[in-house]
Amino acid sequence: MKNILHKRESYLLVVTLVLWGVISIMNPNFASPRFVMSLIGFNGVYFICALGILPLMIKGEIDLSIGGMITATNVIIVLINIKLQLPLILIVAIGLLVGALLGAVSGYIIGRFKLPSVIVTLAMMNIYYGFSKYINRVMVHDDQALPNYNFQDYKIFGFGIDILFIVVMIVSLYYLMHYTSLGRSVYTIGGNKRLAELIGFPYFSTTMKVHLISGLSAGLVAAISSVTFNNVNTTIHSGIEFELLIIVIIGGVSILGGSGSVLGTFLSCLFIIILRNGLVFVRIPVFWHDMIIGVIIILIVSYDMFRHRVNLNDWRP
Amino acid sequence: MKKNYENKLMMILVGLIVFGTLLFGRSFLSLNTLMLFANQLPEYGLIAMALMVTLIVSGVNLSVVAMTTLSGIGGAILMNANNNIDIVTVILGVSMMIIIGLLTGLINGVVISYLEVAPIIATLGTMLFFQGLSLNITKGGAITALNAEFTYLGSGSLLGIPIPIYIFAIVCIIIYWLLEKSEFGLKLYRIGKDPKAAKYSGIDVKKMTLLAYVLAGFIAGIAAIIMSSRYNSIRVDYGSSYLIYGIVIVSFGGVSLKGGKGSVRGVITSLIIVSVVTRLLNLASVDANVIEGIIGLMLLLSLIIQHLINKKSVVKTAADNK
Amino acid sequence: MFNWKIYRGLVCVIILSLALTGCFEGIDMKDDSVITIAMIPKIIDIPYFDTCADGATKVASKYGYELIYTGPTTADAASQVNIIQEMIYKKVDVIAIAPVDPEAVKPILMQAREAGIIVVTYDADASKDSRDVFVSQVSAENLGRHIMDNVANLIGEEGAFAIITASMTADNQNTWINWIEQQNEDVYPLIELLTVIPTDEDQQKAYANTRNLINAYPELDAILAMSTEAGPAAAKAIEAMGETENVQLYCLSMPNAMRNYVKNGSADLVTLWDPHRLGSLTMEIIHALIEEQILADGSDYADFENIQYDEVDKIIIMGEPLDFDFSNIDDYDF
Repeated sequence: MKNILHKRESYLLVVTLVLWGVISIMNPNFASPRFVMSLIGFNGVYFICALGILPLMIKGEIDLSIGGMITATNVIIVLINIKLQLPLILIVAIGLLVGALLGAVSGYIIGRFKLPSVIVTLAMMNIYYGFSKYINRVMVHDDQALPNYNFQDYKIFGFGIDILFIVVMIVSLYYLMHYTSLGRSVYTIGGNKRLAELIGFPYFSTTMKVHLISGLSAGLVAAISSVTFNNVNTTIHSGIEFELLIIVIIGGVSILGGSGSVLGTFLSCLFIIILRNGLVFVRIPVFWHDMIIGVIIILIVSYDMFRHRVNLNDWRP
Repeated sequence: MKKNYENKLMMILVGLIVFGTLLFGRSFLSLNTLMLFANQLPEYGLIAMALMVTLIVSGVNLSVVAMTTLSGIGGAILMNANNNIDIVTVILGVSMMIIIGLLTGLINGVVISYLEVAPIIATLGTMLFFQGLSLNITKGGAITALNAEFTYLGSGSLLGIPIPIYIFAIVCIIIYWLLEKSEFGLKLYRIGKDPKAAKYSGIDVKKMTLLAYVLAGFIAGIAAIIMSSRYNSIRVDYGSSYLIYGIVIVSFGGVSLKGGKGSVRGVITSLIIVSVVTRLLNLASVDANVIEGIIGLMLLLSLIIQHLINKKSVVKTAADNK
Repeated sequence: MFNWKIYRGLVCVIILSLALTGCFEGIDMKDDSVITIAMIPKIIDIPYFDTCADGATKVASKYGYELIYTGPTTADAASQVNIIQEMIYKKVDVIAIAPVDPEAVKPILMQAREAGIIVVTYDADASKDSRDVFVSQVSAENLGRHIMDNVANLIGEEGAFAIITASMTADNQNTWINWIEQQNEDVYPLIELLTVIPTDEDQQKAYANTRNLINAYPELDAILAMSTEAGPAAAKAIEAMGETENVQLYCLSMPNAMRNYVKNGSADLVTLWDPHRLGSLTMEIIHALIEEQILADGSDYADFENIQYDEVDKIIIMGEPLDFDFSNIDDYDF
């Protein structure tokens, strides 16, 4: 199992570098590492959320409600801000808190009733989007609901705050996956649910925790977004749930659960970001994007299946 | 036990209708409302049917709407190229749409059965591919001004009832017969319940799964016919909200994502319930966004109820077997 | 326990009542003395359309009309068609609609007209035989050429610019872009349009792509942001990159959303029209149609003087596009 992941990650690295190289040749402005850094920064939402859903996908679930949680958290942040002007730190804290709460709701329902996560998160997505759009319409009247935070001026060691958040996310998730019991239970339950339960891994608390993490990532993104754009926008990130699914799968996560890594997810995210943003640099018409990505997914996943036949102890999630 | 949830659904439907009539009287219970439903239901219903068919063999087919629009675009281009305003063009158009539907279904089936890619991912990939293809062909624009006879299929009526309803009813009957009354359907349910057991009992799982996706493609083709004739045009982003809506409807209707469970009756009842609820909320002037949220809540509740029913029936069987 | 008898009984009752109500369909519940107008935007919840509706509501109440304002939650043509259908059954007197897709609504609007409903389009048009009048904020050609002229004003007779638009399927934007390209070709051969990038109303994409554009093309002199959501995001990107001096930003957005950015220089010019006025004018035109007034070029409608009317295509043109920059953006509130 580990062998394949190693291969996958190096394979991804190579492909990403090649892609970067090709685009840079066609438009040298893409080449500067400084630009790639800022590219990662302003696409932070994808990195943060892809890492956020990684644990639950390794566990074998799917979260379609990320977009809804981001919007709902955004609306709540703005509502609070109308009454009290808050400093940046508090906004991030509130975002994390609210996001975690929203995630916990999904986690509780899935864990307690042992329901399929796809449908539950689909329902939650509808609920979060529907009600928060309504509240936004009725209660938020100002276009620039938040003051200008000059997000770009906050720098630590010369790196912008957006990069910082991504790094924190990567480090904490890596630690979580490799050094905590949560990480162990996630991989085990994902690999073989029945067996994991027999051994004694706690299904309910693991479910709660992975959804909390997903909610936290959504909340963080909402906070960053509020502070960057000084408003709430309900059409932002629409369709993100599928985009994240693509990123995570290309990064080595199996839809059945049990495999996936922080490095793989990061590299895959980088790959997709370079692909989508790089196309602006080389002026390839947008029409080809989706077709190319669709084929890539199918090729990668079938290659996976071919190399690693699902073994006999396949208990369906 | 299997039918328990569907029965509860029908009771809820009846209850809702009574409740709605008490509240809104003739605004609700009238021929007008029926006509409204008659116009909207076929499209949603066909997408729901296409979803159900593959869900029974435990595959979420995310590409149904993309299949529909691609089929519609293909058929529309063919009809426009063949400029005759007569029945030949209509036949060409209809056949083309069904053929493309079948083809896209075949692609899905091959990727899922023979490349063994997990359905949700495979169909995510094919959805992007079909969408991208449609976008490439149309460059974002619409194919319009379709043959007048063809448009009749979507906007005409027979005996006061819109034609799409007839088409939808026929498809439902066919699916019902295929799924619940024929050997083919029986096998599909068995595969859905337990693919290993099905394989060992001699069912060709790969072939059956493939056929299920081809069937879904056929339904998508029919949906394309109705959609493009109703709007007299077709565009890649038509019906973009139907996918999520369709998944909501089938889940609400008792179709299990794990496979092996679900019935035509349940899906249709669910379709009508959701339409009725939407209508009642509209009459009450509830904001459209809130309606979306409420439907989500309904889905959640139905999942919990379905779970509780299943638990009860397991306990009951164990007790009965003592 | 599922009781089939009760179930069957209830079903019979329902069918009977349906039959009865069908018989009495002639007795109309609707109060015929009040004129009802259904206003259907492309999508509800967007400030632009909500402001239109505000303008329309004021005029409607002035004349004692009942205004029903409803629309799809996502810019989906199919949802709009369903809503129109509902309005037809509701027997409204007028439908005012900003169609998401002119082709998709053509059959249903024609049905509405056959049922005797007056159909008026506003903000975006449907095909000529499916509506009585199109109330347009500006003429598409006018707007396109005007925008291109402004671009030339911002960057000079020679230079390069890029366009950020809503989505590849947005009819409005695509038409305007065609006219921009036309004017570019006709009058400013030395200005190059580098590329057109869609952002699907997603702020983050607009932000990211603005940064991409500025980095990708150092020769870029200006960015034209054509979707209302993209404007503020693009301005933010320019501000964050510190490129306010080097890159001119020209947006089609609401002045309220752009005010801070225009003030601090990250956005240089904004063009739009007053949606409030558009809504009011639409209602005034509807009033004129209800009163069976003949529309003529240069007529006055209440507060609106000398309104252009194209008799051939049946298009009312509200006026000229408004330009907002540092000097006058405070004068407007929408």
